[in-house]
Amino acid sequence: MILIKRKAPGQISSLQVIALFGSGLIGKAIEHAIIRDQPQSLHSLSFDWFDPRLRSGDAKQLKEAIIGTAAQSGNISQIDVVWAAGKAGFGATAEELAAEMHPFEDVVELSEALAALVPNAKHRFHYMSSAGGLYEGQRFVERGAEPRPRRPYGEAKLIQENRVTGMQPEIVTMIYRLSSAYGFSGPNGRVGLISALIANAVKHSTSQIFGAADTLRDYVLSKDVGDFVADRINEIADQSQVNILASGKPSSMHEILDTVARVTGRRLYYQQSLSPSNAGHITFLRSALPRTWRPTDLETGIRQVARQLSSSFALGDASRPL
Amino acid sequence: MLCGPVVSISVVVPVYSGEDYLLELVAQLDEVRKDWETSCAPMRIKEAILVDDAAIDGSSILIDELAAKYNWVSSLHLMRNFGQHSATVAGVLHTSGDWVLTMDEDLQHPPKDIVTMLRRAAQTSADIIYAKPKSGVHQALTRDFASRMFKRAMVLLTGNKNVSSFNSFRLIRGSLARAASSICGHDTYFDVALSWFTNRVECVPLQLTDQRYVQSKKSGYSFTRLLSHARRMLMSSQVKIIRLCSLLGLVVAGFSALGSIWLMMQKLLHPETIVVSGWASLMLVSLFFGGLIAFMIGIALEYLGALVLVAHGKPIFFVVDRTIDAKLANYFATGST
Repeated sequence: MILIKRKAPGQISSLQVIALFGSGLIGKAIEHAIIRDQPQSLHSLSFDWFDPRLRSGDAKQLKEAIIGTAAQSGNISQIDVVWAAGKAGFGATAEELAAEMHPFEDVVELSEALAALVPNAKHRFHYMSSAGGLYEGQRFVERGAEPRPRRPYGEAKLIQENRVTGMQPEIVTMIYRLSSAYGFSGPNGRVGLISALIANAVKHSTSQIFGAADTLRDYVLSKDVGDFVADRINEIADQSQVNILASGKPSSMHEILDTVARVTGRRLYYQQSLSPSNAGHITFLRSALPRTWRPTDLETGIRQVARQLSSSFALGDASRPL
Repeated sequence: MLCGPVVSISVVVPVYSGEDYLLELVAQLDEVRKDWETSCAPMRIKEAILVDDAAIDGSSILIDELAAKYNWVSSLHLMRNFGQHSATVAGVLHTSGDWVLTMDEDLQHPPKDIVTMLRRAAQTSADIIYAKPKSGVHQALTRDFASRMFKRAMVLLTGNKNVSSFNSFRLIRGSLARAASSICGHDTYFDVALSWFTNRVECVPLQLTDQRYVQSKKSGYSFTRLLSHARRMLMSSQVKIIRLCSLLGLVVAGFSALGSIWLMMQKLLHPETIVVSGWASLMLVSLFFGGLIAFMIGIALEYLGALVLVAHGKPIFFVVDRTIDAKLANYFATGST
């Protein structure tokens, strides 16, 4: 996890502390967006994912670091805890997801403990949820639409959301329901559909596609999510909120394949699996999206990712398995 | 009221100068929506996407106001004026309905007729339903005659019989509409792209009137725009005339070869019958090579045409699921209006 200390937004002498959990596609995008905004000090601290005993020690160390900062500087006006972690994917089993609940619960408890230890500061908890998991199989999802998860992944996200909304009232909770995120997360990052298609197009490899050609999904660029979350961290919001971060533009698999082929200038080789479990549409009405949310259009996003991936290949990372 | 799962319809309206019509258009769409909802019909207008193609009047602001008023209306603003086809394609790519309905902004296409088009789609399992004007849309003999002649000429040149049915009031199967839109390039004619995917095309005769033209005698189509349409239509199609020209070249080359043989025989057997020497052989040589060159250019153009179609993204195959039609077919079979 990463601990960021910086001048609090709109304040002259007080500090804002941001504890960011997660260094995947979204975690990295949030980190980049935060550190781009203004000067800050940044510390990487360990937070063990598997061993509860080690994790407890890590949490203690983190609390001490924050309290130490408060003692040193005398004034922390804002503490933001951001949860963008998670190893399990869309198709994860209930057992795999159960294992993820423990670190999540520990971070929620850490945030609550910090609220008690630094009562003068404003506390906020930012939680990255999954619109795809919550609304799978639903089209024209409106603002305030009822989540109806279809698989353990979505159910786990809903449980975690409920845990977040049930946090102490002095903690402002910000929930972000993301549709399918794509982007470049560095040479060793997790690879989503679009990045895999681009990489395979460049390497003339075959991609495995799950779902039918007309299956509709909604894709968001991780950078847009990072910018939006960083903006929420920067502003002095004191109202809990739930935001759907989707593009509002449904894209069929056919469109994605065509766009990637056009952008890369290569033929795509792919094997299609008509797995019925992955054929549900997920689309969102534009009126469901936050007013200040400005998603990048799909083709521009794919071009950006293709360029970043090309640079990554140029640096000798082309042999990395996808 | 819970009515069970429904067939969803997305409406796409390209907007260029619709300030005077949009309020009424959306109100009429809302009326149809509510009618279907209250009667528990198995279909719903789930969204209407108004695409601002750099409108020249106050439509741009108006569509934002409409999007704020109705949560099922979305506004989309194009950076500059890309033309009606591009705006339609942009709108279609933002839809997620089982069916996509495209219509003009100026009430030329009455929303109440959507049900008629749906009925035809359900009864015939067609993938595209075009509205076919029962009488002249412009109520002006020359204008309507020119429109008909243009379509006939295009049918002749492209060899695509569907061209005569092309109309911007169309109901398209959602998966097909999005797939065709996603491959539409700069010079691809949207309806031609649709015909690459399906030949299940039906027409419904409807009473359509271009109110704007009738009232102001101003048409959105100038002669230059018509030429541009023709060019794009020909660019997207395998032009039939190329094949005819190459065939003609082959025939000419064949006849000139036969003529050469005949002339040679005449020279050998009856040389006294040739009064002027050199003229006939020169003509035959010219015709032979002219025909041969025309034929070879025809072949080259055929190859080029095939490459253009690949560049345009003409699919080798496309999978379709028409099972949702049964719900509508049952509904209409029971006599619902």
